[in-house]
Amino acid sequence: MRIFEYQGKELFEKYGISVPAGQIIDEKREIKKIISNIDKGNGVVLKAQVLTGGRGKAKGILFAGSVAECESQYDELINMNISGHPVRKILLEEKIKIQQEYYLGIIIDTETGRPVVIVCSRGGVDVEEISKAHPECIEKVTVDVAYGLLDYQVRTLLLRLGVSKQLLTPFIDISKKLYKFFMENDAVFSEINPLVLDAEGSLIAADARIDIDGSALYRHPDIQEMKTSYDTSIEDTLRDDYQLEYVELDGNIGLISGGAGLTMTAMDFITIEGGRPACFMDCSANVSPTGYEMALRTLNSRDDVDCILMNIFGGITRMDRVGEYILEALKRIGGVKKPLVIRLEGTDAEKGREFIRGAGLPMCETFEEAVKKAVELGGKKQ
Amino acid sequence: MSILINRSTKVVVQGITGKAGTFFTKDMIQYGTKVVAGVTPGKGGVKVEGVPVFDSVLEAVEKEAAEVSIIFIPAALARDSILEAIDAGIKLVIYLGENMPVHDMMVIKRKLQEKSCRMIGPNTPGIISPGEAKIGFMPYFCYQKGLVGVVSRSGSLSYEVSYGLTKAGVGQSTSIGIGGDPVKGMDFVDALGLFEQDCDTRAIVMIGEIGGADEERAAEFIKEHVRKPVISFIAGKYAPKNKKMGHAGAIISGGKGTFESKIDALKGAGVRIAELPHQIPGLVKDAIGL
Repeated sequence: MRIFEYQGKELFEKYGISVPAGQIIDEKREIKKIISNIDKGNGVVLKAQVLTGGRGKAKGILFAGSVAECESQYDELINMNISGHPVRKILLEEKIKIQQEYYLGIIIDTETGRPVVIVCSRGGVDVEEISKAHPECIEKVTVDVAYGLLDYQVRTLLLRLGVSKQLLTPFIDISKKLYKFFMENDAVFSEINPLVLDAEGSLIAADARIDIDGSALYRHPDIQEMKTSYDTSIEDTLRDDYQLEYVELDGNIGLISGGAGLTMTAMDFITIEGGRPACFMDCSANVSPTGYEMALRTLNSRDDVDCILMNIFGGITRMDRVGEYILEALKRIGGVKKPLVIRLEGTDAEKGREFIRGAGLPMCETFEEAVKKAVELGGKKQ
Repeated sequence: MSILINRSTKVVVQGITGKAGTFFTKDMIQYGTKVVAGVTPGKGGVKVEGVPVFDSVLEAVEKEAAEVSIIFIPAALARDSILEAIDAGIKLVIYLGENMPVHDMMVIKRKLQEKSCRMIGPNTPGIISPGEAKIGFMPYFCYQKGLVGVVSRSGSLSYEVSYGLTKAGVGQSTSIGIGGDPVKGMDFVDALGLFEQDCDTRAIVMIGEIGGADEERAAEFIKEHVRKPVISFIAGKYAPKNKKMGHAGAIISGGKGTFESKIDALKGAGVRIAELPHQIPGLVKDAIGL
């Protein structure tokens, strides 16, 4: 679960990581008061709170020298759209006098299953691009979770990057604080970009990009609460309330499947046959009348969907039950207006197929047949 | 023959007295799996499906010589049970559940390395050696004994592919689901190494998907160490590309993880590529002259 910058900074402060003085602007008329609280004479910065990258390039970060300027920029930013994400909250912060910018991040290396601390001697830029153009600016170290992040590990990579010696101690300190935060909060990644060395020689986290493992949220009620401030999409609702993994695509063949691998394969198959999938919809975590009902409702209500393909291969799931669930779901919706193509395979599949046929719905025997039928109904790509 | 498990492998079921534990104990015994013990702390002394239940994995190892453990415990509580199994001297731990916190897996992986233990999972149907034993919840009718080793990240897709092979008369030595989680126990490389060593496996089917660098690492390994024919299908050629992890993740995998990067790496290692799953049986038959 991604959290907003301002939420990440609140968490950072609890771990002793310095952040700029700042506050969320709840109402425009508060701007004057906030500025008097935070401005130390360098001016202020307004930062659109969105869960996507490229905010700087999209003009989602603006600097202001006066209250009037700040108010007009507030109007510019609020409700602005950044790569499909509407701006609902704006963080107002003191402007930091920058001496130098770094990047500090922790992620998980999936091969070794260990945290990796990454430092880049250039901050505030796209680290992916830097890694290609200037690999010498990036150093990383793998951490053994039994010992945690050790001083010498950070020191070694800082020295390799040519970081000045008086900065070693504060840099090691902030790295260990970030590591502690990472480990104690089930983070999947946490990035400070840029990590700013200010005019007074302090290291300050000017940004916070954080992703917390959704499977571990149950042990972090404080972070779970942050979720209420999300803009919830249909994808979020289906995932959070119905355990359906849904990704909307721009095709016209609605796809209902089970298991991520099989669902992606069905999308590939549809595309190879010349059709266009309208979604990725994995129902394997909620095999029930309600699961299928919500999946069918979602696709049935989309004007751009011309037919619905249900391809279910049941392992532990008994397919006679799946047949019953699908019929129950259709009954609750009062039938769907789009043509249905159904293929059921797996344990007790023949019984499941009989249920479906008994209700007057056509059945396909194989994956190939079902995909071809759906593409025929949906029409091939022009 | 088969890899990792066969009909004489002694299995302990952790969480045997729970609903899923009891149900799948019965299912596995019916298939021929030798379940020698169950473990539920506090319930030692009872029997489930004729299997003696102990309070700890250590007791199951000492009294019944259990070698492999399958664990039916919810993800939120699984870390402790898995670490218990590894410390008790179990050689292969199997965890099927979804939603295992990745930080728990980091600790488990550390312990696996320390004790030279193997793990299958999380988020997998498990492992089956057709005609010998199954430790997991895959549907038995998809499989038949034979000469092809199957290893897959996706569970549902491994059923579809194995069923296709079986219908085409191509049996399997062992089929392993390594699971779809980013941090997991065994990976493709581990499975490929075992299949290469197994004298009765003549070809290997590897089913991957987009994301991560497992397939790229597998390709490197195949190039150096695998002489048997490998047939591969990678799911997700037409999946949207913007659903990916952050920038820092892309650094670690060095721009790997796309469909094209995987296919290029595999082709470079001499792997035969199926564009869709139903082409796999034909490619296998060609490769081993069936």
